[in-house]
Amino acid sequence: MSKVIGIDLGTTFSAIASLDDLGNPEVLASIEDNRKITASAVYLKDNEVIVGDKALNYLKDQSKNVILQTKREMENDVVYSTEEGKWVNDKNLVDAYTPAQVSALILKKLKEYTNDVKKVVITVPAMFAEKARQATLDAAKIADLEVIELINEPTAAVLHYASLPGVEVGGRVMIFDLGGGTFDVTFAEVKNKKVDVMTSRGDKYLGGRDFDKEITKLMKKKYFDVHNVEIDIENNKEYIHKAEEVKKILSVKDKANIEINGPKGSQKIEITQEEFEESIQTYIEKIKMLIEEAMEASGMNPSRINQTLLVGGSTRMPIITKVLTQMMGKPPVKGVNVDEAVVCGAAIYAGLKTEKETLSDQQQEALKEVNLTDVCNFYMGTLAVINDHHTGRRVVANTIIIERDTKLPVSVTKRYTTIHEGQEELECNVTQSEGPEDNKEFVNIIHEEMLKLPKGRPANQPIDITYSYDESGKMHCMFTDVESGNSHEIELTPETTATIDDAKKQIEKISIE
Amino acid sequence: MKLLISFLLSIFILFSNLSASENTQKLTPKINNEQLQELIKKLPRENSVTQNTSNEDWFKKLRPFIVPLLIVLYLIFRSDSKTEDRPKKNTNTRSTRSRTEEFVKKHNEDHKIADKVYEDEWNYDQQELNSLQIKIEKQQVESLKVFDVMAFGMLGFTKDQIDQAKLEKEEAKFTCYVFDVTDKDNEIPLQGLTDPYKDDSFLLSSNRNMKVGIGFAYNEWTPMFRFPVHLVVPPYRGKRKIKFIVSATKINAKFENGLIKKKKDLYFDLETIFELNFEEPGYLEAKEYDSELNEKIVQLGMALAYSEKKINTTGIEAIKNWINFEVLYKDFSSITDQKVKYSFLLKNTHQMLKDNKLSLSEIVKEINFKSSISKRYDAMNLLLNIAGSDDRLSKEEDKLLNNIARALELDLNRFQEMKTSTIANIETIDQSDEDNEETIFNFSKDMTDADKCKKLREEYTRWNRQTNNSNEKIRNQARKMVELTANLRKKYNC
Repeated sequence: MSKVIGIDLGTTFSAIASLDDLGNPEVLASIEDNRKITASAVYLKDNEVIVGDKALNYLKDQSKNVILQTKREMENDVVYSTEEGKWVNDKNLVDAYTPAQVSALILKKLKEYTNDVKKVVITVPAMFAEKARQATLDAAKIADLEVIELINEPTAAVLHYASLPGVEVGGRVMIFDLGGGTFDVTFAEVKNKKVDVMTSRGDKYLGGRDFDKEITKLMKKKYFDVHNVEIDIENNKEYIHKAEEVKKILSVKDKANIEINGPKGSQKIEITQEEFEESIQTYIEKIKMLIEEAMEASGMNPSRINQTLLVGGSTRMPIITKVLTQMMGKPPVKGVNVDEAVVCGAAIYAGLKTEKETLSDQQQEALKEVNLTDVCNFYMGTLAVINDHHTGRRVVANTIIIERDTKLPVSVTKRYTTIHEGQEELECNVTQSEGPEDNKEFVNIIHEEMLKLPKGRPANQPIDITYSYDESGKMHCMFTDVESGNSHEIELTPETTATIDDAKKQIEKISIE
Repeated sequence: MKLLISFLLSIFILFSNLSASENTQKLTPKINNEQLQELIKKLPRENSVTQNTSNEDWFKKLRPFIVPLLIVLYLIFRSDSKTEDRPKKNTNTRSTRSRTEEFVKKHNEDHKIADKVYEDEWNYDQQELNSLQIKIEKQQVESLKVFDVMAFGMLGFTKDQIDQAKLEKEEAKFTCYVFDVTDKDNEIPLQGLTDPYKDDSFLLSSNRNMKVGIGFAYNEWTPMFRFPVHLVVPPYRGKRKIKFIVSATKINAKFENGLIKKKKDLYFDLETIFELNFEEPGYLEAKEYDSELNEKIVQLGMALAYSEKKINTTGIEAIKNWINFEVLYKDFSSITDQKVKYSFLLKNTHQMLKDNKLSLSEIVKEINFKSSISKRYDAMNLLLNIAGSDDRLSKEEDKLLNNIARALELDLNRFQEMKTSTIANIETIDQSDEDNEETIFNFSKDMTDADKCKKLREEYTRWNRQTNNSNEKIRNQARKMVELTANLRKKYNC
């Protein structure tokens, strides 16, 4: 019997969990070192690949061959060049790997921690765009995993919190998810084991890695103060890794010492917690702004929030507790392993979405009261010709069909009309945006294709556009020519099977150690 | 009594729901209300009402009992529903949405309600209603001001007219035209350039097909047509008499200059006049001013292109493009003369700028007097194109843009949205001093630190959304702007 599996595919660390016989999530440990979290690092050289903490050992001597923070590239059309040691735009490069392929290697590694893994739930940041979500699905396909569903990381985390026997979570909660590469803040209502998500906001460029970079800047400055020599360590993967160690020390101590090797020799430097906190103030401001925005969007204020739940390794930094206590008027809930909350929630969700007959009686009993209602995190729309209210001109603009924060599942139909007499084609665009944009430059077109229309008709023929999200969170788009009754359903799958097969073949050439 | 009525209503709703659920497999939605369907054809977009067709037969059978019940219920509960508290919706985040789109949506919803009431009330006691009357009411629909053509009373179709309508699916076409009748001897139809408020000759109008029959009536003042206020532009400014004419006609009736072509196609018409104090130039005045206005806009553009005391050549190219599209290509017969004229204008304005003799305040004053607000937004579009033409927004350009936006009395939020679009597409924003960071966000002198913090948060939201943009240039600029807002928030201890 295959297991119920959840995977947290993180920027810096990844983890895999399954439901035990009693229906409780259990994080699975690596067979090699018995660690429950695996570094999302990949070492690639010729046909050899090493995934996890061992890959970090190559940072010093072969840093170009070590791929880090792949998750941040999931939405980009880039490939990793081991020759250049970075993500580049040249898709024609030989022996280069897409973010989906690198992520597939991490997934394959996690798969090894248990037997019988076939169907999984994978977590993604709440604000992951459609393209990044698709890339995650592609990664799973390349790794031979069938994805039951993707689930937003903060949503998974709150499911875990709500299901925990020892922690009392209830009322309106804020899920503060600060990971290695991304930050999400989510508001939800929790009643017993029922979770009702209200809204999410996020920043894909805010996480532990950014704080590490600030530490490297402090290192650079301190070395310069002593030797009056500039050293380039901000982009040095080895020093970034060292900075992470410093950050961990500063999470529990007032100061940390580190040795830096520069052109004028080795220098021992000290970084204080105060210096570090001062250096990340810009990020703290971003965090505060996102919380304010999410509160405004859900009609909340700090006094109406019952609890703040912490998720992600970066929440261990003392400044986070300080800021949250100041903003929310009460300290966040502690006592849960912040590294494991997301993956445990993913396993619980996998249990919810698995056919009942594959679960044991105890598992079914443990999950019977768990319920989740999520929302659409983006505005979904289409491009249409409208009249600009200010200038009176006809312009092509974005029009919204499904509003952000609409409860799922949902189906919305909007009627449009053709423009020209004898119009024989209709450009079907599906747009996605975080804001209610009308400017077409400010939305992402996630799909476009032409729909053929009958010939010889007058203008203003009605076209119904229906966007739906099904129970599994998959989006469906239907364009219907009302008069002829012709309907066209759009498949939102950017990668063809052939592309996946090619990607798989390339990955299969290399062997994971 | 109310309890009894509520009970009856519950039974009715329960039955109708059950019936609907039996037919949910039908995929093709059909609009129940034919009038609405016809109206929809004239509009760019709206929500559709989906209802199953097989309900219609069932409904017809029960109709004699349901309709009177509905009327009574409607009248009893109408006043209650008006005072019902509704949760306040956050409108701040919707500011970027096209107000026209919002309006059309609301308009259609209103029509759905109006049509439902209208259809349900076909059986209303006809003796109590007078013949159809219309009047104009100015309303605020969300963020848009509109003129509603309100109707009340019996439609009053004769038997012959009903017989004619039966040949056309029991429908008649209702058309509304708008005239300026300040001069009784010279009634001027207003112009319409915007769908769906224009006819084939670009006259302001709106039309809809409606079911008609004996006893059909509006039993209370109900919006029949709705025109956005900004589209009702008389020929001249000042106090004007505006006449709205609603004509009920055969479906294929044609109009010419706002009047029906064949009298035999007309069932009846109604009119109402109201006084409008129009502060902007009328459309005929605007035509008279057009040439002067274009020159002033070009001068304003030149001032922006010269804001760093040296001419921005790419900015001049943007001005030339604007002249081509707004002036030269609109009248090929005078293209040579116009080319010469504008060539001199550019040269002279450049000289005046060098000599410090161009008075911007005078130019803006003249533009404000002679232009409609939409023309001023057009002018601002040109200015933003000039500012972004060299892929760089200088501090001087930015300051001048902010000042001009205020002087032209533009909506500053809208202006900031327009500027966002420009900033998103340029490489460099001049950040030579701290002061300039604040210019980008158009902080005014009277803003407190708290106001600035709020504004910065709004800007952060605006830009953070674009860090997901598939266009790399916009994405990178968005990331810079996000940093900038966060840094400024730090500065103000937000």
